[in-house]
Amino acid sequence: MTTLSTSTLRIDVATAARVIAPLWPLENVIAVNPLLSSLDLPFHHAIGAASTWLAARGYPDAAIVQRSLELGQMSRVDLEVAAASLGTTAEVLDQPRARVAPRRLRGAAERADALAGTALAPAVDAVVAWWCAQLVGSASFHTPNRGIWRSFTTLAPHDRATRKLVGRKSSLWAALAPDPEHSLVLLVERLGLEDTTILDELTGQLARLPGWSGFARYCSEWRPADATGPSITLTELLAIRLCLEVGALEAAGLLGTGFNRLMEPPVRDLAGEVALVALERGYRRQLLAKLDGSVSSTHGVAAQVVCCIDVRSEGLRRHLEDIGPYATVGAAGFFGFPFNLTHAGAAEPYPSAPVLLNPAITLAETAEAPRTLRAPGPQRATVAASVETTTHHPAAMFPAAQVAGWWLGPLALLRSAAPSLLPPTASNHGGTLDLGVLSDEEQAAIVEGALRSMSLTDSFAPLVVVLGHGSSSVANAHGTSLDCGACGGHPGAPNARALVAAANNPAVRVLLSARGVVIPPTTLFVAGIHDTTTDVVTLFTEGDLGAHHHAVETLRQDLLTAGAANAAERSHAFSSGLDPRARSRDWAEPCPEWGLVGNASFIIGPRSMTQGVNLERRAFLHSYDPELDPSGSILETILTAPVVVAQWINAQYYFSTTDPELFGAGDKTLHNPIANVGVLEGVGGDLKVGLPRQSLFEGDVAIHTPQRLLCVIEAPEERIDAVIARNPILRQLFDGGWVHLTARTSPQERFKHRIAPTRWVDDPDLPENAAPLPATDPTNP
Amino acid sequence: MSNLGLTAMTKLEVIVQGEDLAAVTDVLDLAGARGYTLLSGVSGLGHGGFHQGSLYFNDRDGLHLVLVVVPEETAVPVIEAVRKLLETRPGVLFASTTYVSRPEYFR
Repeated sequence: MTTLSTSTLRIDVATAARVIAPLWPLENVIAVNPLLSSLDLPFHHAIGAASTWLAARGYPDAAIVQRSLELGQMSRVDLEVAAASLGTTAEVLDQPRARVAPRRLRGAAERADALAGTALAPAVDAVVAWWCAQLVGSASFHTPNRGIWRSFTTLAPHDRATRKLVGRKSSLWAALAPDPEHSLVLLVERLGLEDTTILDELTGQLARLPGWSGFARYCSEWRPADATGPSITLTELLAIRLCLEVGALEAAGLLGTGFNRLMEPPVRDLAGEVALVALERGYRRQLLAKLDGSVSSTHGVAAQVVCCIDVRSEGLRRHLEDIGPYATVGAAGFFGFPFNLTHAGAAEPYPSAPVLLNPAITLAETAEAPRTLRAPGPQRATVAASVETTTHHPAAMFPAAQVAGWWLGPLALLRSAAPSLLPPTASNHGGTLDLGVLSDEEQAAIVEGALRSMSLTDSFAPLVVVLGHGSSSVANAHGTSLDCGACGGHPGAPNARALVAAANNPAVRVLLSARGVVIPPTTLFVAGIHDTTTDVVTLFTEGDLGAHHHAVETLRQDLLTAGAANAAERSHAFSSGLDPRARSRDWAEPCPEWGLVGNASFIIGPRSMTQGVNLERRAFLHSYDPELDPSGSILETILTAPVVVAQWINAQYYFSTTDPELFGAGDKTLHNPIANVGVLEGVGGDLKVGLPRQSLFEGDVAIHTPQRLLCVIEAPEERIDAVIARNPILRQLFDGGWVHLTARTSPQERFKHRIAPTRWVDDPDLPENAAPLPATDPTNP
Repeated sequence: MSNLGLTAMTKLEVIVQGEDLAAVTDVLDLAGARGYTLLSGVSGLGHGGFHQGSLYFNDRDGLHLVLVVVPEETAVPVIEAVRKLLETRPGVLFASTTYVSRPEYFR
C-alpha cells in the first residue's frame, strides 16, 4: 500500500499518457505523429518502444515493397544497397515477418486474465468505451455544473451492463470521492499497487484504448482553456476505467491476483528496415537527379501566386507556371498571420493557425458577402450551421426530418443517383475580416514577417495573389483532415484575406518601406482559395479593380485552366479514373481526394530549384532565398514550425499505412461519428485514430508509400548545423533519424547528406555512413 | 524581513517543456495555489544542449517558466510532484524563501 497525493498522481497520469498521441476532434482533424512522445528516442528505438505497450508495426510490408518496385519508385539495386548498409542481404525480405504482441500485460484485469483464464480486460474495454461515448457524446453530461465524473457515478450504478460487470451490490460506488482526482487515488490504493508500479499500471490502462486515451490527452494538454463542448480529461478517463476495472476484479474475486511479466524482447524487424531504407534511397536518388537548379527570373512576371507548402499545391503551381508569365511562391498556409477567427453568426472563435501556435488576437468576420459566385458567404454559412444544429439536436432531429424531408428527399435521391448533376459543394470561405483590433504598426510587423519568411521582399509583380486552400466533400467525417494543416485543420481563406487586407493598407505600406520592404503602389494583393478536391481556384475580389481588372481576369481564367489540368492529372491516380470534381459531390464516395498521400519530401529553397520539375505532388515546397538570410533566422522559422508540422503529417500517413489496424481509422463505410469528437467503427469499441483506410488504400493496395520525410535545403551546411544545434526539437528530428536532411550551398554544388551532427557525406548509403543501431534496444530492459 | 511586516513564503520556479506545462499547472491547482505566472519562450543552456527561446511560429516546443509563491505547506506536494516529473522529463526546479506583503493573497 502506498500514500498518494492527487498532485503526484497527476504527474503519473501525464507521464503515462505519453504512450499515446493526442487525438484532435473531427471539427479540426490534425495529422499527428502517433509516436509523438517518443521523439526523444531515435526513430528505430521509438518503434521498438511502441511495441512494449502497443504492438505497433512500424515498417513497410512486402506488398508495399513489391508495388514500389513495380512503379519504379525504387529498384532491386536500392534494396541491395540498403541491405548492405544494414549489414545484411536483400534475401532478408523473403523471410516471414511476424506480428509483434505487446510486451507488457496492460493493466490489472489483463494480468488477472493471464492467470485465471478470464476475459475481464476486454469486457472492461467495452463498457469503458460505451460510457465514454455516452458521456462525451451527450451535451448534457459535460456542463460545468455536472461534469463527466458526477454523471458517471450517478448513472453507472443503475446501468445493466455496468452492473453485470461489477456486480449488483458492489461496495465500490459508496467509496468513491465526489471528484475524479481523489477517486483515482482511492482506486489506485484499492488495487494495492506499489509506488514503482503505478506508472506502469496507468500506462497499460491508457494503452488498451488508444482512441479515447488520445482524445483525453488532447483535452488535458492541447484544448484551449476557454473551449466549450465535448471533453474528457485523462484523470476522468482513468478514474472511470479503474472504477470499472476494480469493480470487475472484486466481483470476480481476482483483485490483487496476477503478475506483470516481461515477454521476450522484440525481434528486430530487419526486413522492414531494409525496405524502408531502400524506399527512401530510391526516392532520394530520383528526386535529387531532377533538381538541376535551372535559374528563373521574376522579370516580366504578371503575377506572383503564393500557395501553401502543402504537397497538393505543387501540381497547381507547376501547371500555372506552364500557362503564363507567373511566379509561384510556397509558404505555410496561414501566411504568417495567426489569429482566432469568429465567423459571422458563430458563437465562439476557433484558432486559424498551426496547433503549435497560441494566437494572441481574435478577428471577427463582417457580414458582407464576398463578390464571387463560387464562394458561399457568411449568411449562407450561418443558415447551414443552423440547419446542422437543428438536424443534429436529439429533440429536433425527428421533427426536422418530418418538416424538411419533403424537399430534402428529392435532393438526397439526386445525390445518390446522379451526384454530378448537383452544383459543386463548397466550404465556407468567409467574408471580409475586421482588422481594427490591430494597429497599422502591428499589421506592418505581421506583413513584414510573412513576406520575409517566404523571401518575397522585392521585385513585386503588379499582382500578388495569396491562395489559401480547403477541401469540399459530403458525408465525410474526416473532411477537415483534407483542409489546411497550417490553419489548424480549417480552410486557409481567412488567413489569406487577412494578409491581403493588411498588405493593401496604404499606411502599412508606408511603414513597410521604412522597414526595407518596398511594395510598389501599382502592386495589388488579392486573396483566393484553392479547393484541393475539385482543383477549382476562386479569387476574392471586391470593389473596382481599376488598372488590374484585365490582369485579374486573365489570371482567374489561367488558374481555372491550371486547376483543370491538375484535376485531369490527379484523376489518373484513381483506378476508376473518375473526375475528382464529381467525387466532391458524391456522398457515397469514401475517397473524395487523396489528400497528402505520397508526401515524401520538404524542399526549402528558391523556386528555381524545382521549377519545371514534376514532383508528383509528393513535396512540400517552402520558398527560401539563402542570400536574404545570413543569420539563419528565417531558416530557423521554417525548420521549427512548417517542418515540424510536416513531420507530423508525414508520420501520420506513415504509421496509418504500416499499421492501419492500430494507427488507422478503419473502414470509412462503417464509421459512426460521436458528437463531432471522433468515429467508432460500427456501434461500439474504441474511438478510431489516424486516417481512414480508404484515404490510404485502394482495396488492399496501399497507395501511400510510407517513408520518412526527406528535407532538402539550399543553404550553407554551417548555417543549417547552427540552427539545429540551438533547437532541441530539431536535434530530435534530424539527429534521431525522424527526418533525413540533404543540402547544397548553391546550385553549382553537389548535394551532401547529413548523417550526424555537423557530419555531411556524399553517399549516405555506404555501410560506414549508415545510422548505427545497437543490437539490443535500450528502451526495453 | 518580518520586522518590516512581511511574511515568509516559498517561491518555486519551474522550467519545463510546453508538453509538460498542463501537468504542472494542474498540480498547482490541485495543491491549492491561488495564482501563478507563466513565461513562455525561455532560452538558455542546459545539460542537454542549448534551448532557443521564443520561436517565431512555434509556441509549443520552447521552454516555459512557471513562477509561483505559496505557503510552505502548499509547496510540499508541489515540490514532490514536480520532482517526480523531472525524473523522466527535462526541466529544472528552484525553491527559495521569499517574502510577501499581502499573505492572504497566497493562502
